Amino acid sequence: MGVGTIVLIVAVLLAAYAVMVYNRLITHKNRFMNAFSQIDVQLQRRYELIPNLVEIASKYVSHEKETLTAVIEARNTASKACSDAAANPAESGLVGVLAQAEQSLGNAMGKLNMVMEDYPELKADETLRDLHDELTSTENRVTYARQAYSDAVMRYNTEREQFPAVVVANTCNFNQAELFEAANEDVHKPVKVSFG
Amino acid sequence: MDFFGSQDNRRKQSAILLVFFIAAMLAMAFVIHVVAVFISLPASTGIDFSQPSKPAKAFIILVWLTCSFGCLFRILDVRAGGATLAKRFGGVEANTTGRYRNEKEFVDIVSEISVASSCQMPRVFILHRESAINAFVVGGFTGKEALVVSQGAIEKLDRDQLSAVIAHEFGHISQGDIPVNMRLLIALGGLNAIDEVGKLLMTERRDGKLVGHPGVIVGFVLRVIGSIGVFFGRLTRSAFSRQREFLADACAVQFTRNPESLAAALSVIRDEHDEEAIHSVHAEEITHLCFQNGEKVKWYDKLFATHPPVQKRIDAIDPHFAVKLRSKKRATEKKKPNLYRAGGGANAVPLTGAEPGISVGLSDLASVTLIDSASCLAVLHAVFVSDDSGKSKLYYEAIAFAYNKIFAHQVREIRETLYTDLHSNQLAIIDKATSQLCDSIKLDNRQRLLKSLEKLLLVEGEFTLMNYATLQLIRRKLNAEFPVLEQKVDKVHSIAQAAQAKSFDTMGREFALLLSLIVESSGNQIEQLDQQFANALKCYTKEHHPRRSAEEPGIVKELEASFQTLYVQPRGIREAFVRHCLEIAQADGHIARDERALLDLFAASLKCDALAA
Repeated sequence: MGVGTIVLIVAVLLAAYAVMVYNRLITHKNRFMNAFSQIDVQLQRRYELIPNLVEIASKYVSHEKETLTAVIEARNTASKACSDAAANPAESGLVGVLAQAEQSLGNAMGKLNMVMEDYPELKADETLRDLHDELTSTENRVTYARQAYSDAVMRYNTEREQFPAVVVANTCNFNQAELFEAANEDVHKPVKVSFG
Repeated sequence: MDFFGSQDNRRKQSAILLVFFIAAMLAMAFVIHVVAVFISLPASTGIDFSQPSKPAKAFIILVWLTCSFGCLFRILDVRAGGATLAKRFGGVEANTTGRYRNEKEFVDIVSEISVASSCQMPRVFILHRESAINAFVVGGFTGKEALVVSQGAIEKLDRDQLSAVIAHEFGHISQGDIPVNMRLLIALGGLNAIDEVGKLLMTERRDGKLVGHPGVIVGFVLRVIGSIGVFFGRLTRSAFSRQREFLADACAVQFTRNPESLAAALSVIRDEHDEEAIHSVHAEEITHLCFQNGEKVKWYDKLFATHPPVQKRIDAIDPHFAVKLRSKKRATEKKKPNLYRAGGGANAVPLTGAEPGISVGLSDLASVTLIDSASCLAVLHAVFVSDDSGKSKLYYEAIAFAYNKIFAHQVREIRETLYTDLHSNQLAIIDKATSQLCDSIKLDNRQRLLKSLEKLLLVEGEFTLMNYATLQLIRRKLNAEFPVLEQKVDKVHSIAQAAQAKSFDTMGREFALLLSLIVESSGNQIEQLDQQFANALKCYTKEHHPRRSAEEPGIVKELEASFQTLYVQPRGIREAFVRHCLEIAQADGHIARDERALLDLFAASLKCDALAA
């Protein structure tokens, strides 16, 4: 058996190993992409529910225009960011933008809820209550989906960064996946409350 | 809890167990082979393991055919799919427009958790007539699982706890336990079939005699092989299933990120461990699929238990759960002044302030049944009916002799109607029955009733500790004085001063007895009991006393004697002692039913009524 044969055998073994690692990376990547599409599904559902909520609310609190428009605007921005990110969750930056848009939507919704507290007849509206229940359950689902996404991202990143795999990952352009977190530092700061 | 690490660990152990199961099957094959060669000895020329004789071959083929047919039937069962199985076990499909209370919320929770676990949403079923807290997943090979949850779970758990239980079931799905479980079910079906065919061959003739034809011998051998197989099969199934439960718990925490609510759900189950885990007629078949299988006490039951003890599961999730629960409780108690103590009097249910987990209200069934004094009288007798069929028969006969047959029949009937209530809610039933009797019959008759109850109990031999405790409770609730004690106390009164002069050390024996009983009622492991007992006794005496057990003969008489000694001590000492016992019982964060009964007995016998209420 000549040296050439040994080199050939080693090369074939290495190639087989590389293929195996590649396939495993693909599996994990698809898993986290799928997990992201779950968030997408639930967020879309939420974006559908919010205009309904605003519509019912506007019947009672017409003079709180600002809050209502803020919610709708935030919802539109978030919806756009969501479809952008859903198109390619592996691309860096997009998930961060979505997370930030979600954060501002959350803030706007919080304000709306506070406003609604002042209108007892609004709270008594049955359609609104059903809608509110639905929204709560959907928000739970969003949370769970984000959590499942984070788990999938963690597994993928761990797989990607381990030693032999990292070589394959870098050559085959497997990017680091992003966690669903707002990139901007501002949102992590505690909210300032002033009693004027 | 580190659920990722924990999951890896459990998965390894499960793999080992699966290997063990396969090895057990191979060993079975070997045993069958050897047995076949040996029993065919008379019909063949010599022992040759590699080439068995014709009858031996026929026998081996018979065994394996039986086994495969058994498996085949089970496969057909499982193939029918999760929904069919769920319906067969009595499940009714739930949907968001359901008419039952909480049904929509339940379906919402299931869809939330299915998102969290990235699994498909299974079909959801509710067992409407099941009051126990339980849940399980059944499924075929097609991946169409069905999730079944009992009505009890939906009613007794809050949203977070129910999410945790459902997340546990999704843990089974996402870990691929369902196919494994179904395969185990099939393998056991095959082994069972060998046993069944053996039984069939050995069926006695009409005249009741076994005939020594070859069929009977073959049947006997089949039964032996089958029983050994089933034994090992169950053993593996149980060990395997116990591991998977921990794994599913770890997954549940991963999905909900809320270990506390899973621990809380388990502690709710632990606090009502008197209830059957599941009442369905299919209980044995599906026990390894369920969320819990009830508490097992005997060592052989533990060996075959498909689930680890609830306390162990709680400890695995959060070792400090008891402490957290207690501090939380203390915080809420400070906010609300004790509501229960304010009630006072004979109607206050003792100690409920300390343990909100135990239900205190009567069920509708019980309140409807206990409307007249006759049924109240019957229920007080029904409380003492033993679960042991021999003893209970004796007891019914004694009732028929002491009163009449109709009354004995009534007791039996009421016991059957209120079976679950008598187990889980005995205190409330006694409370209701005694308060009704107090209103309707005179003191003399009440005392006579107690005497006859006491006599009846002696039929079963000596008092058991729990019977004694219950009897004393009824006595107190009926406002009938303690005849035995009062009498003695009168005599002792003159020498009470002398008795008071006794130092703590001389009463060491009495304290030791009471402490060992209260420690034992917690149901911990023996080593733990010894440790707890030694610690508690240290507060009272330097002398060493052995730990006693409720199973010792004559313990009740000794207990009564101890009460008499302690009864004449100053009130402060008695109250401090009862309070100490309460602390011991609460040390593990909850008070079990046995502990409550004992504490109540202690408080009543030592005249610390304020503490009891």
